[in-house]
Amino acid sequence: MESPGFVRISTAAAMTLKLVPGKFNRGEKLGCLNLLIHYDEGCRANCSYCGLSDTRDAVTEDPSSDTFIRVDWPLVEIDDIIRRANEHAPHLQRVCVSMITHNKSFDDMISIMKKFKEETDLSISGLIAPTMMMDIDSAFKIKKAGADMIGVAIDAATPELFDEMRGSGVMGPHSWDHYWEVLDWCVDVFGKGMVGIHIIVGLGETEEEMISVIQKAQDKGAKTHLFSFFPEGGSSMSKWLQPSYGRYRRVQLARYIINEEISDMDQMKFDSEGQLIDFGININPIVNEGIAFMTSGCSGSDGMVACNRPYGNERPSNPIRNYAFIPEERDVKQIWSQIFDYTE
Amino acid sequence: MLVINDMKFPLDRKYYTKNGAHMWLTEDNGQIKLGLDAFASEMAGFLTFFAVTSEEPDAGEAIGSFESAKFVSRFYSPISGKIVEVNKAAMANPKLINDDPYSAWIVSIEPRDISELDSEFIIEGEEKVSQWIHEELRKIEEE
Repeated sequence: MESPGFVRISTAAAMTLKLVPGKFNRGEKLGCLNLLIHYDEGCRANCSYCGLSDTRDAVTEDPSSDTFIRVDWPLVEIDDIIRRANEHAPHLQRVCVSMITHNKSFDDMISIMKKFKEETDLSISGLIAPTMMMDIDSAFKIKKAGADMIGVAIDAATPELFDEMRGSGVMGPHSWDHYWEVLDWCVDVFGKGMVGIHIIVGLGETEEEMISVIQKAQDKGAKTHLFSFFPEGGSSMSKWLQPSYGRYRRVQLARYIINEEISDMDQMKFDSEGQLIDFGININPIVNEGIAFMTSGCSGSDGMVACNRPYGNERPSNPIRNYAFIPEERDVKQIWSQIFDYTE
Repeated sequence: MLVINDMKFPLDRKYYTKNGAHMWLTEDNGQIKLGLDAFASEMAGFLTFFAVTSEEPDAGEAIGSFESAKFVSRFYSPISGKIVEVNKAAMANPKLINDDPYSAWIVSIEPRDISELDSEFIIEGEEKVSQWIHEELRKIEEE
């Protein structure tokens, strides 16, 4: 049971397709099916924060050690996913096919994309593994297969952290420079605004470093899709803490200001520890509107985020980090209480 | 046994309905055993966590919470009294509740006033339980 016939799907997708029971805590509707290529051999990379890491402790009594991005990812046949998506989920707008670092992964992603293009009305994203892509033709092939948007999971905000957590520091195959080169190819092929980088807040970077990489991507024509670090059980970073809400809110707001071209990083001020202390503009209307704190990801036909990932980075009993809906008044009140909290 | 949408509701027990609670209760040697019903289990999905936070609840008071990957809710006591036992096996492995919600009880309560069970929010019998569950399903569909 491997790709391309089978893929792993997120718990949220499995719930939406009625493969497992459950509803979302505040009645959210999932906008994007997230599919993950699967081989019994697993991913060949060793990223230290990742639930798919080749070196993750597979023999553990910790039940959370079977998770990826906090939740279970059941293995499901592609034909069953397509049938259920067409039958059960009219609110779905998009499907995202995620590569892993494996030499079969690119070709299988292409064949899965083609199948969705032929058999559903969903828009298609590819979350690519740049290490498996050697030239710009790869990006053309993805576009030809039916994808209109691309995600590049750079994850770490600085070249040093990238190398430490994904490259030589963990005997991993990934290269910072190659990731950015592939990003440039994708922007050339898919166009400005149609490519997004995934970045994880809380891997040891400062806010200034994080906002700098968001600005760098924006200058290249790519948007940023933010994630909040979550310690995966059994991974080498399982004891790390999540970033504080204050830190995450400031980065979310800065990302929104930069990606929506309201202002840029040059107008923002940071203290000696790299904490964002002045956005350089009046943030009141933006915070009160709430959209800046919604999940950032590939959009749907309505221009709003389709990849809304409800409770993807936090337990539902904790305050929400990425809102899958426009924050309500009570949410905005909570955001205001968090955004200028500088305690870590 | 009442079965609605593949959800089972044994008719040998009562159900507590206040505040959207989906608790079942049985009386055993003067104590009240409480658990989540199949509807709560189905709505929550695979449970990952539950906690009991009260020792001597009043009737209608939240006595704890349960949580799955994407859902969290409280559960409530239908009766005033003292919690004398918590199901440690279910607490260690909450998925037992999903596997069989009517075996995996949550708490046992020693009631202060057993007459509190004569409440409009505590129902039993096929007709009342069926009517209640169908109404709950209708609310879900309207969301």
